[in-house]
Amino acid sequence: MFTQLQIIFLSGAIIFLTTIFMHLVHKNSSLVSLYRVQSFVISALILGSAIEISSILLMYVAIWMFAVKVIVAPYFFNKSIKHYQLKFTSSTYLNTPLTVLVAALLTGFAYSHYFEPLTILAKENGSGLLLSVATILISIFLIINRKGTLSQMVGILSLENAIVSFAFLSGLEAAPSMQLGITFDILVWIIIASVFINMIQNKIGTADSTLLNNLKEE
Amino acid sequence: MALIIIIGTLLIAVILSFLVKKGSELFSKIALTASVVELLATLFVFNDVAHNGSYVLNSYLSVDYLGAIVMLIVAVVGLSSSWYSVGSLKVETEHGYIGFHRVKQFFVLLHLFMLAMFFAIITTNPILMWISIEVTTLSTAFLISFYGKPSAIEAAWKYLIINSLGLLIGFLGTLLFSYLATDKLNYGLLTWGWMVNNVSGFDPFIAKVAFIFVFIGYGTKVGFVPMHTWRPDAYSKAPVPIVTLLSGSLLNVAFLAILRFKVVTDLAVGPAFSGKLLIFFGLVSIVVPAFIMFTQKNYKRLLAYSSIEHAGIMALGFGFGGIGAFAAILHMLYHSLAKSILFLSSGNIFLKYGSTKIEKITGVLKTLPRTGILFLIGFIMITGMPPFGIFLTEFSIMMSGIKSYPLVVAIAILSLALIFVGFLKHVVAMFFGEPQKEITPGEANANTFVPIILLVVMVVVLSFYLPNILKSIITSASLMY
Amino acid sequence: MSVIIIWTIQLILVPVLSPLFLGIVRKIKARFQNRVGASIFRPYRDLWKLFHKDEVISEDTSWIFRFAPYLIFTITLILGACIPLFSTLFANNVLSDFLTIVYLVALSTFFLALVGLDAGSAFGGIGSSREMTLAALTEGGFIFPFLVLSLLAHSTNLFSITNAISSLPIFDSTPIILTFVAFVIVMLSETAHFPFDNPATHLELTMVHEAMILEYSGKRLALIEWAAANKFLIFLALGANMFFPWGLITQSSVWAVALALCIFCVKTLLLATFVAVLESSIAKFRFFRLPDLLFVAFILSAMALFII
Repeated sequence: MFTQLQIIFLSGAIIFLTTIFMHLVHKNSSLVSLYRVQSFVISALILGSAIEISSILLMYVAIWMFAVKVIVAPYFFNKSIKHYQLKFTSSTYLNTPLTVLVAALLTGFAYSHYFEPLTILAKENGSGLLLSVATILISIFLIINRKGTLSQMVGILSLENAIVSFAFLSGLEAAPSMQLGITFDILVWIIIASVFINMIQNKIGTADSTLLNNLKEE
Repeated sequence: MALIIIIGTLLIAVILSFLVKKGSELFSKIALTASVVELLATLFVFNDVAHNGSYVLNSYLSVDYLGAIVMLIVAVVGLSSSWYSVGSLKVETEHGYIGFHRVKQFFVLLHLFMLAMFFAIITTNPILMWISIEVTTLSTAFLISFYGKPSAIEAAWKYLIINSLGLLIGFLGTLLFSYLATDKLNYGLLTWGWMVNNVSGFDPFIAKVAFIFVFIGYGTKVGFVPMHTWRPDAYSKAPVPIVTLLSGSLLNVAFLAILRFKVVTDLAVGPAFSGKLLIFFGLVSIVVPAFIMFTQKNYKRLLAYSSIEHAGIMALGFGFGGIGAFAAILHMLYHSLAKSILFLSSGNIFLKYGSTKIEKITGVLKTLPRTGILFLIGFIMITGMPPFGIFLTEFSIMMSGIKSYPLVVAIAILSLALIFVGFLKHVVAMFFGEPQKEITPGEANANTFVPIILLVVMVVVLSFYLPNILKSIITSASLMY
Repeated sequence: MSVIIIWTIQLILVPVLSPLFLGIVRKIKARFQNRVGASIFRPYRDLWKLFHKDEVISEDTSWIFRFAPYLIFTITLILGACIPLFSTLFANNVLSDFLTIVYLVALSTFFLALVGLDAGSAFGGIGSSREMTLAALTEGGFIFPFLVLSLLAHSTNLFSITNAISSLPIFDSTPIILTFVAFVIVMLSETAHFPFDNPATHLELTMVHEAMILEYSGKRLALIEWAAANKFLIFLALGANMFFPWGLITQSSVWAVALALCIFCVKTLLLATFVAVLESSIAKFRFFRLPDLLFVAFILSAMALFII
């Protein structure tokens, strides 16, 4: 029904849309679900590429990535959310319209002439590549804008998803060893960050990272 | 062979430290033997590189000139930090600040940290290097929150987020660099050597964009302004041996990553582009800390800003090129050693006074005479006073740039003067004068100042006499820049 | 002959079907609230009842009060006739322009607001002021989705837009999805549904749309309520047909017309169900949060502009 190029583009579009919605939602659990959707799309992409090249290793990598990102990571997050009652994450530095405005400006920047020559990386899928560049910029903005520690974590993970989608769209899907290493790294990162969130929650009492006043005392 | 010894020793150290049950004596023995073995192996590798050009184990692990120098610095700083940590942890355990589990955690993570740093230097694949630098981030995050205070945990969180963000951007840059490799390598591992040889196929625009990403990404780890915000908080909260390693070794390793990419970029687009980038960020990284250091209230943050400023000076040197590059590599060496002196001495001060605020510290020369003198010597070294080495390197860097960028050099010199004045102000406040009544004079134990003395001796000797072997390696390394 | 039949259907489709959709939405909401709910044909009976009742008109009102319901109802009739409902056979160049649609809607809102002020009661004033605030902010969000669509289709005529969108490659679908989200927000605002206004409220202080028509009774009230239902169906049809324009017929055979009518009903039913589910799941926002939401809709469409 769709050609392979269109499927890749659609996946890029889905990732872009989920990132924008991450900016708009207020509940932590919605954030985690959006991240789940993103990771699902990414692992489906890698799986598709694995089937196409018929590489068993890449298929293992895809399954591993699926397990880590779609099952394990949201599990950790949901556990933290339930345990510490981190229901809402609407604390941001900019209010919602300004957030969306900055996101729109970043998208415009990604499509401007600064990044135009980057499209040679992608053969025919130029607008899809620029879309993933916009996703990267918007993910970085998500990390900066949010005050809650859980949303910062999800921001970093969605940035990693966006970079993988960028790699995919520019034809770099290769090197299963690389993907394996990255996924393993992400797993360790998630474990450590979850431990940190637990520590923060225990010691400081909230997961709101604007309480950096603690650092100013000395 | 030596490389396998290095990696293997550290792996064994990690496992052994993990398995120790009780009795902290075993920790110190493991740590000290591991560090000494590292140093010996590194010296061996160093020697080999000096004679043969580069030390190659196989196509995945090899050491070139610059890598050899950085490895040596890492090993020396590692040895002094491990030695010092034995002493300081003993004092802290006696005072009851920390317990056995913490000490065990400390040593396990310390060895993991060193292992990751060594691996990052000797691997030839940029992606593996990225992974090992990420491992350093992860291991040091726990070490920063070591003391368990809320401010320490927040400093560690800030460090984790900012560095992960930076490293992801660096990863994007690395991906862009490996773009051209996939068609030609067919899933083999990309190496630096291969990239240097096949650079003619690189699109210049993509190379520029990739280098910018790599620079900003790894520059977050080095701590250029404006990506430096994690540094003062992390340095003031982490235990002193870790801070020494962060400042003396990790900074250099991250810089090494940038420099390796710089070689490739220079071949693709010419040296002017990366040079300008380095000069701009270097200058900003010198000016901003100069102003902040003047009004600091916490001496560990003061030293953190000083690290940022020296990273800026090194960036300037590499940006100017030629003699500047030679001086910058030498500066790397002197700075790591001198900064270690400063940090380890400040650790002693903290052990004695229990506070990191400058206003609470008076009369150090009376209570801790040996540490005080060592700190003063370190202070003179780090601010670039003659006759020590840093004066020479800073002078050479400025000289190499004065023809093409006179304004930049003028601003840099002014900032350096400002830094000297600011630092002096704080040092005078801390060191002279009368100590408070409750502080008893006397050093903690021998382990806490003997390593510092050794470092001082090393710097003094190196300031006046540069061994030929060192000189030849540095010259060959700087030829690439 | 068949053209006359199709024209007739196009003209009367909106007024005839709109109370049905109102009834369906109410029924779904009742089901969510565990009630049986009134039958879906209830609004028809309500309209019939109202048409047979006496009217009471306040003496302090002006001619606007008497004239406005007719004007508003006529506007909705005209709008219903010139938007693509089930066929693209009427590329009527003047009235089918999207700017005309936007400003006809604005005209009806204007008169409705005037009516609220006309009787001089406080509640009418509240309703009018709130309505004008929301209308001013909604206008940007209303125009921009159509702007995006017309940039994609290189024309401002609604029928040509639907023709063009249905044949776009999939690479252009991202801006369409983004603006569709913005359009849904705008639709909720203009038709006085959650989270902007509660159409079933009886508390005057929380009303926006209902407050303006408090003074009406009898057949004028019937006309205004019918016009509101028409507006809802018009927006549903716009959302369904402009953004997902597959299913519009181009020939005029009987089977094609029947099929197109069915597809139209299905699409608008889906959207109406979505609105009903949304109404049952979220609460009405407090008034100060509404401008934020409308602004977000506007910027989402602006972002979609960048992606084209």
